[in-house]
Amino acid sequence: MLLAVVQVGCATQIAPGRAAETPSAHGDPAAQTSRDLDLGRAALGTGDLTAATIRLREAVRAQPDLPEARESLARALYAMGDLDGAVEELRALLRRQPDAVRARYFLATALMAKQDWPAARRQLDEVVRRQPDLVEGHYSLGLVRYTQGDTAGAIDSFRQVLARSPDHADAHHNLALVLKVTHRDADATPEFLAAARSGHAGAQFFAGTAYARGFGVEPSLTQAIGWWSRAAAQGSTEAAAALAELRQTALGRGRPGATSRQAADSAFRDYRAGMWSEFPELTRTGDDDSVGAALLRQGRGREAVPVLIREASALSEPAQSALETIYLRGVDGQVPAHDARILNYFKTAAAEGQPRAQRLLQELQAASEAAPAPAR
Amino acid sequence: MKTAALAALMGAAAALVSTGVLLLGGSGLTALEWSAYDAWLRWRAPLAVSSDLVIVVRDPASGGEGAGDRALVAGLITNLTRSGAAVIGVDVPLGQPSFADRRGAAGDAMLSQTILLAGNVVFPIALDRWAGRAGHPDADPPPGHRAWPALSTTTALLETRALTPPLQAMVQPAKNVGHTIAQADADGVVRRVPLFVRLGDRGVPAFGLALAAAFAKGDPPRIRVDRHGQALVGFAGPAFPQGFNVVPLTELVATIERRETETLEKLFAGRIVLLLLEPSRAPHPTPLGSMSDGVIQAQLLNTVLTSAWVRPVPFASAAIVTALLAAVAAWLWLAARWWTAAIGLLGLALVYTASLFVVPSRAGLLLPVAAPLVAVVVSSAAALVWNQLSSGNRLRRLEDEVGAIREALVRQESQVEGLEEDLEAARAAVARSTGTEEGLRAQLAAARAQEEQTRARLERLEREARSGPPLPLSDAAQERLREASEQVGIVTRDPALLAAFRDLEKAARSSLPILVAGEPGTGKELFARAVHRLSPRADGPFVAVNMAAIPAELFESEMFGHVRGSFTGAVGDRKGHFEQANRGTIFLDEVGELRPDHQSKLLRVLQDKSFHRVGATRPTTVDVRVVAASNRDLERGVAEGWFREDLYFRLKGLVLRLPPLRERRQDIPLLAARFLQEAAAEAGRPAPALSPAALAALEKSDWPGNARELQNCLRQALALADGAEITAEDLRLTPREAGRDEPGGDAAVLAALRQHSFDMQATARALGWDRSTVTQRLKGLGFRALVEAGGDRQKAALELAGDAALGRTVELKLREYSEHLMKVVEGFPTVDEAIAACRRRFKNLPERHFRSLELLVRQSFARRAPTPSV
Repeated sequence: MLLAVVQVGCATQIAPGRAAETPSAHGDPAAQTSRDLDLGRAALGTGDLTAATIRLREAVRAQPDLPEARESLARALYAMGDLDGAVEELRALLRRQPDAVRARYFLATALMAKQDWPAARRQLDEVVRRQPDLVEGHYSLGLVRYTQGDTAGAIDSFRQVLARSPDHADAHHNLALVLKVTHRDADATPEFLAAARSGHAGAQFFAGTAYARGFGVEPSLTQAIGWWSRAAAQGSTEAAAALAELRQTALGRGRPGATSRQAADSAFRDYRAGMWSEFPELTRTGDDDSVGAALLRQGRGREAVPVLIREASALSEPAQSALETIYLRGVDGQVPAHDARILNYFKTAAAEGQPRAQRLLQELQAASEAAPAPAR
Repeated sequence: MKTAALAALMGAAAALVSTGVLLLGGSGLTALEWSAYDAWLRWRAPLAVSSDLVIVVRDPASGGEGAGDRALVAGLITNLTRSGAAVIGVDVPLGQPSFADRRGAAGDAMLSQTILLAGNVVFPIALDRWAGRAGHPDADPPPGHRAWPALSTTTALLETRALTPPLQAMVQPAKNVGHTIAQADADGVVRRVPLFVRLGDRGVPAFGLALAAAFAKGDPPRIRVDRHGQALVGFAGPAFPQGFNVVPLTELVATIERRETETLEKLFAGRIVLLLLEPSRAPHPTPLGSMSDGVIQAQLLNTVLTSAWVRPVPFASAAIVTALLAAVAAWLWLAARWWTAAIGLLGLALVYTASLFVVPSRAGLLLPVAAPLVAVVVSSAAALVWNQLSSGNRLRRLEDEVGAIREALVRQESQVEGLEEDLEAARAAVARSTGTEEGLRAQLAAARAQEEQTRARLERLEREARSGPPLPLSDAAQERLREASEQVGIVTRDPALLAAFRDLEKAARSSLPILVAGEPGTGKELFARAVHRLSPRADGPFVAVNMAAIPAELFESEMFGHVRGSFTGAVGDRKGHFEQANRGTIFLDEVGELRPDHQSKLLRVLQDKSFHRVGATRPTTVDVRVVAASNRDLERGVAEGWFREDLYFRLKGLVLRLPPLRERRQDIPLLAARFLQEAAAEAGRPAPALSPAALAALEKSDWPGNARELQNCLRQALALADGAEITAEDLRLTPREAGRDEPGGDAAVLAALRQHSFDMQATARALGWDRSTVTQRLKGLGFRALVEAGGDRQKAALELAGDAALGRTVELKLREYSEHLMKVVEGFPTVDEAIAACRRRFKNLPERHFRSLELLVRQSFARRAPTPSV
């Protein structure tokens, strides 16, 4: 967020190097100020925050009423972590130009970074009053309202965002979170799903959980596995943990009973079967066939590895076997041996206690120790 | 019994006072009250820690992040639940939404979902103490948890409010939610936790209790709380987390990441897992050091699990103990000496101090400290004040009693004296007028004999009157008598004394009894010995007996002897003085000191010439020449009734009156030379000469002790003189006032009386006299003082007492004496008869004082004279 704000600020400025093209301004104070401003902005754009701060301070000192100079200086200070300095410059700017909405929004952002929630709330209220269609203003207001415990206000703000930008995935996600926190799962789950469909990993995890537990939707472990898998693929540790837990249940480990085991096992099987629908062009040769294997058969090795990993994570024995073969030997012309993605999968599976993966890793370890040391 | 009741009353009052003082409070008193508990916590053996409790503590290696990230907490909960943890407590107040920079609502939603899915999570909410319902900021407090009991409006619990309304998405799915309020005592130390507080109409349990309740499989344990609904936390010392089953957070995270499910299950399955992610947040002082809310709740949880409850003694019991101790302290001060009380109090303190440490361990009860201490101090102070006041009162009462007793004693003494005098008078009267016919005949015979003697005396007096005064001695006769007298040790040139010696020579040849009268030291025994030596009995024994020196009870034994076994101590026969003097002379010195009964016994011997030894059945007959002597006027004794007249006549065959030395000063040089020679011979040195000044001083002196005093003076001078001549200084004669230092004189008696506070008995012992004699002397002094004071009894008493403190006593005595005197004389019609009666009754009163008595009687009769009628 911080970086985004800085970059947004810089995007409106001149391109780096422009200052160098400006004729010498020695003897002309206005020209010198303009030169300092340009140099400062250029330094800010390149990340040279110290130089940017020096130049921009010179510009502000020369022309205190120059809004661009103050706002740029505030952004440089913000980027350096000098939040108080940034707030001070922005307040000075707003005293001269109260209608500078973007500067005010930046001030609210700095106040949020300072965790001065009441001051940030006041500035954001002023921002959306002056510019009601500023989506980011409503979004930040929703965050601040929630932090202050104003869940109803937060919901309202996020809805304001979605009213102006219906595909705003973060707004969907945060709206869903606030609804969930206020115990309104039925309203939250559709929002989670909307965000999940937009590819929001966090929303995908919650969507999976909603299906797993039936929060606002018909329970479906298969759907849950699907959403968790997508989230896990994006690095959601919670989703990965949820999948791992479900796999343990399906494998009969841990405390859940037989009914849970059967339900989990069935869900993984259905999930694997459902993957065929993602590739309607493929033909399934039998119950033991896997989507990945079918892709390999068609020579689509690059596509096959992630699919095989998904299938193996869904407890597909053929997929695990195929992955083991691919890792050890590779696929001629398609996938090289010792693919790191496959090794990661086996490490995860071994950590979960899956015997095949553990055995493979032991063999690899033994082979590594038996191999002669490379010559110097 | 009275002391015990008083001590009990003081104890009860002190207990009330101490309760009031404690209610007024103060950090000092509170610290004192809990000092024993705090010390006990530190010194006792560490409490057992429940094996059902596992505490996960953030360790330094885990860094500072994470507690605020609720997603991390959710992950821990998920894994712990997966490991079979029965109940999970999370010491992170969840009331406030997460900040945006800490995953904001995502973290909250994650945790809320985890709590719901786990179904075994207990967490605290942030509550604040709220003084009352009026003006409550949360008019509609947030909906409570289903596990919170509904409260009636009358249930007195600590009122609270939610600092931040808790997120319902977390409250509702949690197994329970508890508070972490720790009530600090007035000294700022947290020892107790309210088991429930009020939030709206619901009772919120303590976090530790909520965890225990979520874990409990059977009936919840019975926990006794104080009257404020608080329970003492049984700190499992000595310092957290020592003794507890603790898993560091980093170790837990690492184990989860390594997916060591068996290890996790072994650690957590079936147990309560308490996540103390902020163990150092907002620490409170406790008896065992600073502890956060979470740690205090962990201690409470362990207390519930191990049932290691300690509770203060109930108020009523504490009050009874306090009153009892205060009463014992008061009783000690009231009933014992101060050092005994101090030692007792010290022992009591030691025993109670030991109880302070033993009772909590044995019975789980905490004895009060401040209240008993204050009460003991108060009751001790009250008892001491009481002692002071009552001592003053007792002293005043004693002084009053002493005064009353002194007065009663004076009255009784006077009464005894009066009765003794009455008895003497009655005896005399009886002896004179009552008795059997024989008695009367005897009295008649005696009276006739007396008449005969009186006739004979009268005739002798008439004869003497006819023959005129004794013929003056010629110089030759005087010379012969001087020589003769010197041969028997009598040195004198005084014609009167030589005349007396002439009579002695004549009478010595017969067996005529001789009575020698004279002041002490005038040579009475010398004359008696002369009688013996000049008598035909000169070869017989001469036995001198001082009658005043014979104890009354030994009179018969000493005088007449005793036979063996006649009384205890009579181990053999013993001859009495009379028997020893058989065929010789017995000299009865100080015969005037004989008691009347002894006078009778002596008279019988003189009459019968025989007597009975004590214990003997046969009489013993002796042939004895009796020479008696007295410095008292026996003739007056007869007149006053204290000396038997018949005995007097038996003794006074010849009366030799020896003049005092001051009346024969011409003898002083002779006697001095004689005494010096004797003393020098005794000392084995030549006799020194007397200087003229010394001789003049000797002649000038009055010598109240007569020749004996002169002899002692010269012996002393011889011993002290340095040269061959004795000077006046060597004599060390000091001018003295009449009677001042005279032994037995009025001044000496008065000094002795004053010295012994006019206690007759003590004074008599000091003087070696009997009490009656002292009384008579004081009586005489009193009469004289009354006369000199013109009848002013108080003035006279002060004059006699010499000290105002004794004035009252002396005044009482004077009043008794004068009232007795007036009573004695009141029945007599004339003053002469009254005075005559007084002479009989006050026969032992010295003559010089009798004149005062006579004057008082005359004044009394003068006042009695009828007023002439107009």
